[in-house]
Amino acid sequence: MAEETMTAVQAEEVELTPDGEVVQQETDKYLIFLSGGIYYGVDTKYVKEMMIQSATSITWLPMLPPHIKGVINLRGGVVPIIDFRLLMGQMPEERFSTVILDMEGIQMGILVDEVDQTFDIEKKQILPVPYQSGMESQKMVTGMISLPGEHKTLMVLDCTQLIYGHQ
Amino acid sequence: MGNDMMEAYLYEMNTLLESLDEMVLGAEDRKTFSQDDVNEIFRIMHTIKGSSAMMEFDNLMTVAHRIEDMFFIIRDQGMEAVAPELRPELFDLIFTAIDFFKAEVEKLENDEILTEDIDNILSNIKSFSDKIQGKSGEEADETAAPAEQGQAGAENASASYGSSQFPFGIQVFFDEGSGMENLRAFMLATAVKDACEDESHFDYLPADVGTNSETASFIVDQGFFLRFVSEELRTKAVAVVKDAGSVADYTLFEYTEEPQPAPEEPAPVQEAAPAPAAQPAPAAPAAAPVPAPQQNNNNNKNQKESLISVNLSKLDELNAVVGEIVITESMVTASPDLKGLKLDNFTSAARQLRSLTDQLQDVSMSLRMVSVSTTFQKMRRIVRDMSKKLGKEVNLVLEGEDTEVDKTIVDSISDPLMHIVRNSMDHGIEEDVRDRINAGKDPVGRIILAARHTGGEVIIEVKDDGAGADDEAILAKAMRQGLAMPGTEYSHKDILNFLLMPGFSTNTEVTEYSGRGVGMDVVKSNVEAVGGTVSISSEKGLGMTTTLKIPLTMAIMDGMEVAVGDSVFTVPIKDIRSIQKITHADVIYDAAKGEMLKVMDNFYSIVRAKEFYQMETGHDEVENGIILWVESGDNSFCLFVDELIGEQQVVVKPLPDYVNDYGIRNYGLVGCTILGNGDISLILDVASIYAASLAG
Repeated sequence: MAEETMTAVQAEEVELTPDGEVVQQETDKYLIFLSGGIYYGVDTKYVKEMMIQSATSITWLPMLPPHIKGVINLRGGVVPIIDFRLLMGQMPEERFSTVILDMEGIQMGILVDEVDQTFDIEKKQILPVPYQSGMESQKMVTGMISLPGEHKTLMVLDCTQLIYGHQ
Repeated sequence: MGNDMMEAYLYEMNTLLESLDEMVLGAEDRKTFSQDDVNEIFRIMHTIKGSSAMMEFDNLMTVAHRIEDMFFIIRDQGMEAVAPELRPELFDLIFTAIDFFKAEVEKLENDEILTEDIDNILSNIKSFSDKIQGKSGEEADETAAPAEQGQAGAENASASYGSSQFPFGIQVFFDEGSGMENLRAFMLATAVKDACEDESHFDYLPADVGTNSETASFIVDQGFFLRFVSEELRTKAVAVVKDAGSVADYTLFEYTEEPQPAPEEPAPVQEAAPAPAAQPAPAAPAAAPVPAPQQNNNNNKNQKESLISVNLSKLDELNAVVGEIVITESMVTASPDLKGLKLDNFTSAARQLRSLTDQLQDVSMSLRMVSVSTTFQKMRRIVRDMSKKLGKEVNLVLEGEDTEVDKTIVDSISDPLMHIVRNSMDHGIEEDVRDRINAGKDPVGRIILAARHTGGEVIIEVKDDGAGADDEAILAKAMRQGLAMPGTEYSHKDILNFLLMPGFSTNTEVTEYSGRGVGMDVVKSNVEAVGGTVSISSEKGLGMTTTLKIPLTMAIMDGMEVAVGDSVFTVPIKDIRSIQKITHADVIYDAAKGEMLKVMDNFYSIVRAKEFYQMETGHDEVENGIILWVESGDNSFCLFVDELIGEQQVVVKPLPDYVNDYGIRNYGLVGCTILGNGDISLILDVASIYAASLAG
């Protein structure tokens, strides 16, 4: 945490340099996955693990919205599983991969179509989302970026929104 | 400085202050400190002084030091040194000091800056110490008068330093702040010895002034005692004392015959063995009671050493691991690989393993259980302080103090209880004693704090015999606050529920203790955070009862695994009254097509789990499934499920917050457990299912 704030300050300083000379580049590793034909990116520091098809069966819970698939037993821990595609209002495909996110000990699994790759993204390159995409599900997207060298545009996901946004 | 040290210091301080608080409260009830109490306070202050000095909290050290000094006087002179009319002041003083320490500790915990200015508290202690000392001086004079001779000698401090062998004494005080009092005393004693020419004709107290520098503080507080066989010798000595440098004052005193068997004072022993520093008053009245309390002290010490403090997170970890072991054990012993094999040795070893893991479970669970008594004792203090401040006389009665609950529950009820007790003191108990007398009540108010277990819950009640809730006043207030709608009919129960709403405060004035309007709704949210409920019942004029019901966080319980469609649920065994197969003909219908069943001469509604949870799979025909007659508290009904899987001990795990946030707790889904095969089974709470099924 402390480290993060420190580097953030540094980044600001870099911007303030009057002659525009870039001293340091601020990059984060993002995990890129595909869901409903859209590429999403999530900071790898929140990714605990990935599973191609979920090995453990999901226990269904009653009285919950359809995108909450239930809970799984992850090595003795009970972790909720969200179908990310349903959450985003997309039609889920048959196949899926599970990405387990961990934010300060709070874990959550999301079902996505496919895990693509990881990518170093420069923080400064992340652009704001235009307001017109006022969909509820868009609230979880905090920025967009065109991946250099590839014809992909990435939606940067906000893990805090994903885990606490429903409250 | 290490954090560990700080943590240990804070823990120690909290523990010491708590036990001190409890003890002083007890002593205040009896209006005196016993010798044990005094020794204990002395010991605690000494420890606080020492560890505060080590941590370099000088102010804490100084205050502790002064109190220690004050109790030094009381320890040596007995509680009689403090006249009954001075005692309330003494108790107040100690409580102020405790509060001071507590506040400082809290500041340390929150990384705040400590209080700089402690002059006020120090001067209070000083003036009180002077008072009890001044008194001992006066009494010494009085005893000289024949009229006082009959009075019990122990009543007066100087006399207690009298001796039958050396009945004529001088009490000498040195100039304040002169320092090295012990050495000055020793020199004085040497000078007196020269004047008397014979060592055996006098003695002095403390006896080891020449070698023990700790006697200095005793001399500052009590004076230095010289005792002689005859009056002439004393007169000679007085002349020496008068001439001696830095003597501020001296008083003459005489030994008075004790009504108690004091004469057997072991004078020779005292002469032979220099009195140890801890016991600088080997005079008769003090000598007898000393050995006993010391023994007690040793016992206490042993007791304390048999306890160690463990970080709660370690206990949690242990519980988690034990839970996993239990699961793994059943995974191993019920492994499908073993099917059809004849394994006699394995089976018997597995059985033994099972009984050991059961034992392990019990032990690890009991580690987290603590009694509510500490929390209850804290309320004693609140009641005491408030009754002084508000001028209301109130008796706090504690019931079921020994009730053991999980540590997390104890922590979570502490604040709510404080709010409720404050409310009872402030709003509940009548302002005017005459109101109580007119209502035919005991003029002394009464608040009962009770804890007890019922099945899976712990129930904590705060009951006062005050004025009770005034429905009209509450309703009027609720209207003003916009909580109630004008023109709507509210039942007595509805009205009481207003008390639990945010922003409600019935008192017209904001007082120091309650009435900020954050009381009861905080209580409610705190208790709900641990899955409990709060309810209020009250009758105007008769008082009010606030009841907290908190589920015991039983980490491990016996459950019945049942299947409904593809899902597996766990029903707590303790809630199951009976299990039976029924036929269609047994089912009775009401007008709304609701199903009922007659069990043991009573009718109970049937809740079908499949319909209740809107499941797609599961049996619809009653003949195919099975009925569980369940009961929890006052709620009893029949739960229809597909089939029984079997009985199993399960480790309760909470459901993730993410799903709890959707309110599934209200539908009876309170937790889950991991079965031997790794699957998750949902634990059902019978009471909430009943409530939800009524709500439709």
